[in-house]
Amino acid sequence: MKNAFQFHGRGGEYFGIWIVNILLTIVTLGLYNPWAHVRNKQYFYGNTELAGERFEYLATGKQIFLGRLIAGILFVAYISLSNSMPIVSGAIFLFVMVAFPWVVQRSLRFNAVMTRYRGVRFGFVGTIKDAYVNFLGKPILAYVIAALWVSGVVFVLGIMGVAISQPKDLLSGISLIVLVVLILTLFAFVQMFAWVNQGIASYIHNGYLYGEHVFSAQLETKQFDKIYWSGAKVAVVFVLIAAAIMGGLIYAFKSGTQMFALVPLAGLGLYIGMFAVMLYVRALVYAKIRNYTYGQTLIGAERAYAFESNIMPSDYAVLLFTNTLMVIFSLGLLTPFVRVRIAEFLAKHTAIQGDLDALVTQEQAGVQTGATADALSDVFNLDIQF
Amino acid sequence: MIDGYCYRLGNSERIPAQVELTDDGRVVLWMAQTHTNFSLQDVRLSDAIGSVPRALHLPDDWVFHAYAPEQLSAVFALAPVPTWVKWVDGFERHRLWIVGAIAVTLLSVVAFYQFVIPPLVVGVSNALPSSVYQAMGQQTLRTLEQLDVQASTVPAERQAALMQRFNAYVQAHETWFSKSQPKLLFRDWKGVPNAVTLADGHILITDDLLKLLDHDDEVYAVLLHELGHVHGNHVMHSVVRASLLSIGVAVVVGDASTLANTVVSAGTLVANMSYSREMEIEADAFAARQLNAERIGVAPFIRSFEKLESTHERKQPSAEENQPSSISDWFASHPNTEERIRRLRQFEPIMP
Repeated sequence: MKNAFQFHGRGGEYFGIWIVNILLTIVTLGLYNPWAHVRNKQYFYGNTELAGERFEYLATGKQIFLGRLIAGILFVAYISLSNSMPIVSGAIFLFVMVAFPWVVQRSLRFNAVMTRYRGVRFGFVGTIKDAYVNFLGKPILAYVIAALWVSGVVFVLGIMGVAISQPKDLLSGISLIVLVVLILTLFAFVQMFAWVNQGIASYIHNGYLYGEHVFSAQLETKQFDKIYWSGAKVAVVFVLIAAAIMGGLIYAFKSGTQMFALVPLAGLGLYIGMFAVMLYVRALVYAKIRNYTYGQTLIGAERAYAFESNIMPSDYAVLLFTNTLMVIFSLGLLTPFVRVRIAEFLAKHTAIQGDLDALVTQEQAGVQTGATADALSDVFNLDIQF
Repeated sequence: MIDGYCYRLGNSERIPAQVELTDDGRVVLWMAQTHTNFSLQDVRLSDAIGSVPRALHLPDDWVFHAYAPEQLSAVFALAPVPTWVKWVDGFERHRLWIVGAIAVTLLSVVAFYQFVIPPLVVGVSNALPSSVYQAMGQQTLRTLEQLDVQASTVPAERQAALMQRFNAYVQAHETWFSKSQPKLLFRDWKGVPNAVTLADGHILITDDLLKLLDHDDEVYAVLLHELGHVHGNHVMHSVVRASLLSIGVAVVVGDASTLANTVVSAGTLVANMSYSREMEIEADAFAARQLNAERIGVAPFIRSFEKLESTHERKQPSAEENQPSSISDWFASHPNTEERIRRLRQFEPIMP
């Protein structure tokens, strides 16, 4: 039995909520911001339906006000000091980075506890320690390993290159080495990226709780690796094509033909192409990662309830592309319609397998909240979501 | 009698139920064969938002959902609801309010841009201690030197002559440059004919520009233009303004998606560029006034424009550059050359 998510929101209706949020935020000089956040969430949760029941967002503006205030002050300090006093803004950045895993854990927990479905609130049981391992420890380690790997490769190949090449073709030897180093660097970074993101996704997907049922997901680094490579391949092919075009143009330019009239045109073409490819790669990787991680996620240990996500990367890319055009050409006024389109699309391609009516569960006691961290994660735009 | 089902908060079991509002204002909840009744004051509808179905919250953690939610909202319209929610919900669905909100939002953006930002920028810039100016100037200089910027190869005599003229001017008008000590720097920035003003009042002039402007009066005119930027504190103003704009944007559209953020930041960039155009005009006017006061006249200044323009034309043949167009003007950080020359001619005094 497959239960698809449904989204009932309408762009025209949400427009009113969105513009009133902006108006009241302006009129109150920003103080309304937490309440605006709550109205937004209420609208999107309340319009999301699963198996005949809507989701609810429970947080109040008052609960997240203090957190947003702290976050706002940090943000203002960071922005305004980043030019004049890089040391102070650097200290703020460092502080935020060290506090980041804690903020993430609190934020995931707060958002889970503030979400209710069928009278039962979600929970999050991932520990702070694991958050530090996955959001700070592994990324730092990954950088160190990647840096050691790259410098090792440069060193070994450098010695080899100098040893084997005659002084005459030293140059071609060096360019060959540079190429090999670049390929191996890309390899190292994709590998490390996959490893880090597998950790983060595992932390999140194994942390949620609905009633007494813990979510679980067996995620393999190998799969992440494969997905990132599929994205990297598209990017590399584009870079090669772009390089060929640029090379051709430079050659034409040097040989003094009339071709140089094409330079601005080709530049514009490449720029648009780059934007399109970046968008496509983003859509491709996002869709595949989401499909894979959701597909592995179960509610409860036994295979009674299973998540499913079936986004076609090209569909998602088209959605992102048309959304971008809508926002740009309406000077932002179509933003509410864009958000509704995204919510609709994601809901349509998400489902839960299993008989949800039989899922009778009891909320676990002692689910705690911390609104401050939630707001922090929001203002620094950390998009952490299940 | 309204048909629906109930949850006891904390348990996901769905229990068939009915709810009724009696004539004497009692709320009756029927579940299985039993019924309980409450006062209307003890029940509340969940917050109204868009057309999301509302639920009825009853005492003892019971929540009732109706199969026909609109019926529930109609019958319990009198149940207590936070006043602000009622107001906000009313605004959100009222066409006139929405149109008004769009208008007020656009107007506030314009008003903020026109009337709030300029004095705020000046205030904040003046409040910053000169150590900040120095730190910023040094920072920019270091960044530039990491690019392909090297020591100048312009003959020492020419450097000394320009330096002497520059310093004499600055000493004569010391009180005009309160936040910073203007200082002239010569650098070789390969292939870039340019003059750059830093936050601390240091002015960097490149070898290529000196090569292009072979007459020292032309160079002097350009230096006066840059001193106009120092006098108007333009560098700090742009930095402070960019920061204020991005803070304002973040507060108002804090909930925006990354996508909208990108568009909005592009907007702030354009806004900043049009301010910077005003600054160029101001610096031009400053230079023109000084040139006239020293009885040099604006002719060398105009010649420097023409020479710069000619290198520009040689580099990339583009007709667009010279066409007067209000839109491209607004987007451009520097006003177009013809426009600048036209303005300068207004300063031309009748000279013997």
